[in-house]
Amino acid sequence: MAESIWTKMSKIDARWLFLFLWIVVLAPFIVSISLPMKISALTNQWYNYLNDMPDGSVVLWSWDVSFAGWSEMEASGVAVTKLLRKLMEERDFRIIMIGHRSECGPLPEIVLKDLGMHPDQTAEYGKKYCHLGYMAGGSVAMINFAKDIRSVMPVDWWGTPLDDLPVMDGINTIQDIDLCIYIESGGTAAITQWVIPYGTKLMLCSVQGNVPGQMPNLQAGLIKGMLGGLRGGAELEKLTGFLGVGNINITAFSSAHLVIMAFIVLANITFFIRRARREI
Amino acid sequence: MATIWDDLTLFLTVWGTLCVYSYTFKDNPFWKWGTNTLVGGYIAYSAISNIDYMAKNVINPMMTKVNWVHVAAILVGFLWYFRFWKKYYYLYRYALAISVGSGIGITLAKSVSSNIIKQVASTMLPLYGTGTLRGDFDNIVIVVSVLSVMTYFIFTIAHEGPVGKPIGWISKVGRWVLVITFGIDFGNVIAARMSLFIGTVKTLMLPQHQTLFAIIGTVIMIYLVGTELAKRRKVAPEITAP
Repeated sequence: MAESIWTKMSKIDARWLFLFLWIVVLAPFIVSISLPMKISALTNQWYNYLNDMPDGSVVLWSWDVSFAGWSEMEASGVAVTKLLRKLMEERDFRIIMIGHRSECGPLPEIVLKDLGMHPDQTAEYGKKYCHLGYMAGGSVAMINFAKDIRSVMPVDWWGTPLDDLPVMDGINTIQDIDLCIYIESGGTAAITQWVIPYGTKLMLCSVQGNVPGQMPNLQAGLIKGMLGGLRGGAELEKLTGFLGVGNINITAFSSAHLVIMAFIVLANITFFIRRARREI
Repeated sequence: MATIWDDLTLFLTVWGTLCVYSYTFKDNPFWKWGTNTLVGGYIAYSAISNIDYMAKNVINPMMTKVNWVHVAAILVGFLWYFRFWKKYYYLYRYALAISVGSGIGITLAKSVSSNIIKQVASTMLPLYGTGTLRGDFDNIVIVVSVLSVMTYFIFTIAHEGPVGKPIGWISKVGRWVLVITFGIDFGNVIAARMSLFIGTVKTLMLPQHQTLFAIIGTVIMIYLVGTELAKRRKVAPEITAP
């Protein structure tokens, strides 16, 4: 007996679906297509919390993102850095960047270079912002950083002693930090090492996969706001007007999800029809 | 002016990315090269980064003033390398024990507060009177979900009789909540993977990468499709005349 069309559909080689996804994702980069995007309450909450910080606040811009995670978190990383630069220029914020992974020495350096904030490009480096570089040691280093920043990071990423950087004047422990913004692609120890013992205010930029896991922390007030994955980054870009990579990628993101949803619906229809026809 | 290193970087970016993604077609030598190079390169990079951190922040300051705590920590760190020396292998266990013990000690004490006390406290919510209908509804959903899921994991009471039956009903609600949660998690994983993929495609579509993307992509595709077709031809049964 010849196979029905439903049986044939259930046997489609998955590689055709992969090829279709490649085409759908590539299309927005080749042809200019734009899908609408609504800014979520989560992103609004994140943005408002940062905006409500008093003038002259000291912000620790913590990086804990891998090279692999960077392709997802680039939008958030760049948009937050631009927003902090604006707050630094207009409201006297002080920004201290630090990395918790080996990748997070060079990644913030690349962003600083792209934004013209690298020490080689401007003499402003060190006055209101600095990049301390990679801090090895995970949770243990975070504990010591909280007690005495200079005990684990006596010099910045380029080897300048912290005492020679005006931005670090009067900043010795985690209690001198008003807000920590933490970009991560694999969990954060900041809650256990900084928030619980010292009451540090913490906001996250999380990879999409970690968003459900962090929601209870948001509900419990352990974190003050959360940007979720590529979408969060794209929304922040739209909210701040610093349009960039997130708004380019988000059309591909939406169209890819529409296709995946269509596949899931089609697969379920096929399954139920085959079951009704007693083909399985 | 672009140097040969810039060109090599461009080539390796596109080549490495496409080698890894070629796995979506099938297991192949390009994929093996890509993953092995990635793992090896990443380990080397991590080692160099950590040595660099030690040199800048630990060794250099000790040139002026010796910090004996750091010296002790470095000596304990060297114990890890006894793993490769059968005779003194046991010394490696001291380093392991100190790492595991201090790690657990550091994390556990504060985890109780962040993972249990704070989470439980945030579940003690008013079921009405939050000021908005949405607020009341959200709180009810949270409280009902927590209680029903916890009931689902009570395995000591049979779901029959005057006590067991209601527990069975609540347990069923818990099962639904769990299934919905797993669905949300699965959706998020798809979104996360697509975000990574889209970020990578964006890199490939940068003006400086486009030509290489087209050339290398075509070469890899021809190889993969060619070998697949050759394999199919090989295993196809011979047709003989009746």
